[in-house]
Amino acid sequence: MKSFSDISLVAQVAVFHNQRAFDQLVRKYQSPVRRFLLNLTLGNEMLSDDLAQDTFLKAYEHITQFKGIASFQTWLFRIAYNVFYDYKRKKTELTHDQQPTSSYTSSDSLKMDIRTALAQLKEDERACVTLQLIDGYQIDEIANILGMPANTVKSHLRRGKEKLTNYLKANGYGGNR
Amino acid sequence: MDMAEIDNSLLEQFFEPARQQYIDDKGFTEKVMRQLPDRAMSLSRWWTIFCMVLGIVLFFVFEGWQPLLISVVRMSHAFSLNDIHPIPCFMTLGVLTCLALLELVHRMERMQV
Repeated sequence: MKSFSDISLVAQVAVFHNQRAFDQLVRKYQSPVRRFLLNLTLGNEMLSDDLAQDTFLKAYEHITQFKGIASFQTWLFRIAYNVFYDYKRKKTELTHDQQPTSSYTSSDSLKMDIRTALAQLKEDERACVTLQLIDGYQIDEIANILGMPANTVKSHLRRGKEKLTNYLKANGYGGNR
Repeated sequence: MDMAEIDNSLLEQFFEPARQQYIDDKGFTEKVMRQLPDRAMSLSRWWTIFCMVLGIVLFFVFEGWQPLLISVVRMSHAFSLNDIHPIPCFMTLGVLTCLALLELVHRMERMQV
């Protein structure tokens, strides 16, 4: 039912350029898309919001390319990752995203821990781990979003999880405190 | 092998708060909507132009001026309600309503911009 309503909204945007329908789609998916980009940028809220905006603008421009094979969220995540990847490629000096300027309240220290833990990973590993452990995607879906073979995703996940486990255990998580 | 399972449960537990995290909109959607390219506007503009052209063509094809002219002449001869035929009046009213609607659509488009 969820995907049917998404397809109906997408059809309204694609055929009639119905901006109200697109407004509903943005409201529905802004949180998962922004959260995904926030994790990729290690908590840089300003940057992740800019990238999320670009993601939705690209989605609107290319809405006719959505075939409905994967879910609309998966399609959005794929665009989001491409936007992030393009940003990283174009960025020559990395000062902006190496110094996260998160405006989250420091009361949520566990979120900071998560960002610090994710910072131990390479970008591809981070993307794979984030998509599996936070967004709950299966390996084939992650491969679809990131445009990688499933085996590559599996090895990124294995390496990423190993690094994270070591990091967490070294920092007193998992009962070793 | 056993280690991998332990890893997974530890990681799942660690990322649980992140899974629950919901980011409030806080004007994000509005910002996105303001930056959308104006394709809908151009589409409705073309639709308006098409309707206007169609209306003008049909007006001339079906000699729409005749009932208008007749009604004007009749009205000028004797301004009596009994003499006025209802069909030309309805046609005139229809044309005027169409024009008013077009103007309304146009103004709404401008307001959206």
